[in-house]
Amino acid sequence: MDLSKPLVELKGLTKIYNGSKLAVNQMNLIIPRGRIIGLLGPNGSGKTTMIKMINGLLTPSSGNIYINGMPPGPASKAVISYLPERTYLPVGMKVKDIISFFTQFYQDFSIERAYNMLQMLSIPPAAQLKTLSKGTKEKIQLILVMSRQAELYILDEPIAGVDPAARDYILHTIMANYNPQSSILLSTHLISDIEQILDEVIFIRYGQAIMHAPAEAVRRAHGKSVDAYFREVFAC
Amino acid sequence: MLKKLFRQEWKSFSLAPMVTMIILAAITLILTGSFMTPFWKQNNIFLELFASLTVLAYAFSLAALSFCVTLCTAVRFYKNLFTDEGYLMFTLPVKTSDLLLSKTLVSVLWKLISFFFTLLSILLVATVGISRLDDKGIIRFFQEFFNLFRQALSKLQDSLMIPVPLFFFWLILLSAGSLFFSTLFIYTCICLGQLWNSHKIGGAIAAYFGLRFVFRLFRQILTIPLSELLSSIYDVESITAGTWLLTMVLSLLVMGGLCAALYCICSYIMSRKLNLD
Repeated sequence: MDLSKPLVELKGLTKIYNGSKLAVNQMNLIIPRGRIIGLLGPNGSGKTTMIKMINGLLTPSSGNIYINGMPPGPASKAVISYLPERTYLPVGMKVKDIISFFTQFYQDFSIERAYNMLQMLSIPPAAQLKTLSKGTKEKIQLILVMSRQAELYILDEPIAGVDPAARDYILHTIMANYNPQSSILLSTHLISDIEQILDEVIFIRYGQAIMHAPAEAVRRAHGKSVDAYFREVFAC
Repeated sequence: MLKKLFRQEWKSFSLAPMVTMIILAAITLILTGSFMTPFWKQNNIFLELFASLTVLAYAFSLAALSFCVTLCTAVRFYKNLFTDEGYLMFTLPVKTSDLLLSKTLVSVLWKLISFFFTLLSILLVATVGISRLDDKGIIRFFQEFFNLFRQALSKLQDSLMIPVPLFFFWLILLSAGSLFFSTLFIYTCICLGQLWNSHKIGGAIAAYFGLRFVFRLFRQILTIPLSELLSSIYDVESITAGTWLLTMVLSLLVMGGLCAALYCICSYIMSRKLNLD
């Protein structure tokens, strides 16, 4: 781990879909270490596109991404734990198979932690993934992601579409399992639920980071919560 | 990491071909078993119908095994890398080349297994079938077969002017190359389909026909000057060892070059042009 370099640095990052649709526009951003950062913006603002480029799932149209000073590759994937906004689990596997899969490929994966969380949620390790509900699969994905000792956790809409009780569980799981030396980049538009855990916030609009500041500074400067300020900035 | 990826791919790939192989084995056993009964020598419409259906099912299962492996090659590659599962596979801390290589090796290995299994099944059915027609038929069959084989070998030796083992070694290498080529051809079509903005499966099918046309054209263009070159160097009436050696080396180089080109195209698209939906 090279601490002299930023954890993630985006330089002029741009993504254009189908030759014309600008999703991320000349984005410059630095994600520091040891912080919980909210990536906040309305639907279609470019949050997921940016996250997918950091994870190497989308190729930027132009610009550069550096993770620990290096472009996305096997080394960066070894330090990033990513929770996408969709279910990616192979349906032919059992829960214990996917845990064994993660154990094999990620050196920082804690099998004990994963089984503890499964037990807490009463998810049987022998269950076939195809027999589980969408919500349970999402919980399993969160368990997989949070069972790693990663340098950066990227969670794309982890609380969207789940009931309030599950929301609390998810936030509790994130807070109880993340490594304090690591950073969490948490993308959402449901700010009120996560505001209390955020150290910093990044506002994204039209594919550009229009603000990156400590959450407390935003509250002090504008005399209102981040959620209220977000509603003001992004009012339709 | 390649070893781990190979192991995972083997586990996920093998289910459907294994089931098809078990079905083929079962039908082979039913067919050979029925040869041993006196059914075949009786005039009974139901027994004849059963026999015809068994032979039909056998022919179908032979084709199904090969088709199943090809289908699994395409479906596994597409589903595992370019649908939601791609979010899991492309975020693993592994090189893209390792992802590609592990899938290629598993597919090629299954093609080999299905080939030898099919061969074994046909040999078993043929052996039992012939032996039931005539008690001494099987011995005579193999005697004639080996006589023919020996004659063919000696004729081959005369016409080749090169050691026969070398010729077979070349054939094995070329066959291995064509196994890799057929797998990488499918992968390349799927990867090229990913360059389409939408209708990516349609793009892959278009790439399949487009690439087939290009390769056919390439073969024609390459064959004509090559045969002219060979005829200008060597007297056609007396083909020498040199002619054969040159043909063998060139064909291996072309096959190797094509496989390398397809591998590079796939690897390039997967690492530099990846755009998962």
